[in-house]
Amino acid sequence: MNRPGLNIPPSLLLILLWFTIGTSHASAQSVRQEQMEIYLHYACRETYRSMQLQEGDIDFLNYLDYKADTGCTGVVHVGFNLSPSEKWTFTADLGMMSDMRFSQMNISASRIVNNTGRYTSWGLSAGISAYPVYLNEFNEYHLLRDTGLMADLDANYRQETLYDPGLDLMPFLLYTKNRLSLKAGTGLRISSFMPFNLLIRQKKDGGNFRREIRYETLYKPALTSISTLHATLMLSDKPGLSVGLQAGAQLLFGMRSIPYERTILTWTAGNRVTDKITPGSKPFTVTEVSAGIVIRF
Amino acid sequence: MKVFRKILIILLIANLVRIIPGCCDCDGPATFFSFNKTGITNLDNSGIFPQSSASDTMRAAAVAFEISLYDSTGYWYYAALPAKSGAGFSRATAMSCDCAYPMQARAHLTNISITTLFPISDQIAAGAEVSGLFAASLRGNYAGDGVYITPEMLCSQTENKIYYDSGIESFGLFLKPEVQSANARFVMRFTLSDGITLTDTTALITIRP
Repeated sequence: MNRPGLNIPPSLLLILLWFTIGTSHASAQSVRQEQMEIYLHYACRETYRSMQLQEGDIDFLNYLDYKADTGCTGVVHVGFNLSPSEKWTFTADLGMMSDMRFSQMNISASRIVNNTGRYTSWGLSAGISAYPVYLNEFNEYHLLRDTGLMADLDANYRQETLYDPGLDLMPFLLYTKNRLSLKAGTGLRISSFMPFNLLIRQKKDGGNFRREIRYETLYKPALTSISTLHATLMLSDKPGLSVGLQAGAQLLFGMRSIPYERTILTWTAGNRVTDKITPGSKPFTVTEVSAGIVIRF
Repeated sequence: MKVFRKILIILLIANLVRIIPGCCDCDGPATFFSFNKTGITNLDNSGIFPQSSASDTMRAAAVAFEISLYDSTGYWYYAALPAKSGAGFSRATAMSCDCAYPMQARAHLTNISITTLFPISDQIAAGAEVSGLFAASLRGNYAGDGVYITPEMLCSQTENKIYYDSGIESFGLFLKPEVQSANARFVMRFTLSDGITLTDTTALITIRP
């Protein structure tokens, strides 16, 4: 049962690794051809929307990051940059919130269009991105309003992850000098909150009365401005494997709303009333500040 | 090495062959039975879920009963009977066959008629037909999943229904309006598809606000 080729001794692996690093080192010394980066960031994300009074129909925007304990939502980013040439950079970024699963993936491609100075250049970046945000305790609307009823029979903590996938296009300016590089850009993003369904089941305390409220949110694309600023400081300037520090900031701003269809079933499924509700658009911002390390090779 | 491989293959085939007849044959034919008895118990539906109650006192807005239709022969004991086996030969199985026994009613429920023996409110006098004032729920759906069904839907779901093990049609009936009298009692008639009507009367219920 001997299978040659499968049992590679660790020493041979080390030799292969050394050879690979040595080869990339040698090629980097001549002409920069391909560059890869892996980064790990911790980000603080704050979602802001102007709260509406809890009158009339429910507005789900009110419950984004509602009653969050901290001032901002922590997000761990793990990303990968691939620059096959000096002009092109492809980025894949994974984001993980407190649920400890990668719920965010941003993919982008950047191209440097022109050099505007010795150290500066400008380019265009396009990509797809999703900014998940927690929708917390939306049942509070019913708990406060529907008195005389057990307003939500689901006793669990009500939380949904709301995704906001979109396409973005952004011109940027890049400044690179020695070990420092700065990248600033501002552009447009078109996105829509992913539809989600919510169910509220109610019963009269001390009575037979039962009611079910079903919410089905609808797509509503919205135009958002997106602005970013990234700084990278490499701790060593040597070609090959090098380590650096990174910091970034991002701001999304738009007028957003979450329209939905509400179906109320009273006593039986046949006795239903459906309404389409479109809350008014209101200012919505996502601010994110991040810092971390980058490994370039 | 070749001998080792051959042994492994033989063992694998032998185990695969063992698996096939080792599966339990649970697809037996349905046993037919008749609904000829009824049972009514009180439900306490004042909390989140309805619960069987020995008390004859109910909240005015939570008058509810659990109805059972079954065969007086006692077919629900059928499941407890030992499994039939072939004469002189019983198949080897990996475990005992925990089969559910399919049962089907000869005649299904077609209508529920309910008459109140006490006035429910000023508008609903004693002797009135009040089946439209009741909502229903299947016993398996008591855990608060969704809203009620209508008595008509309850009847239609009994058609061609296969009952496993028990052969009991069990459901809850929930009065929608609040009872304004001090007492409540209902006569319930269950009409089957073969024309037979089963009649039963609830206990005398004392209403508390």
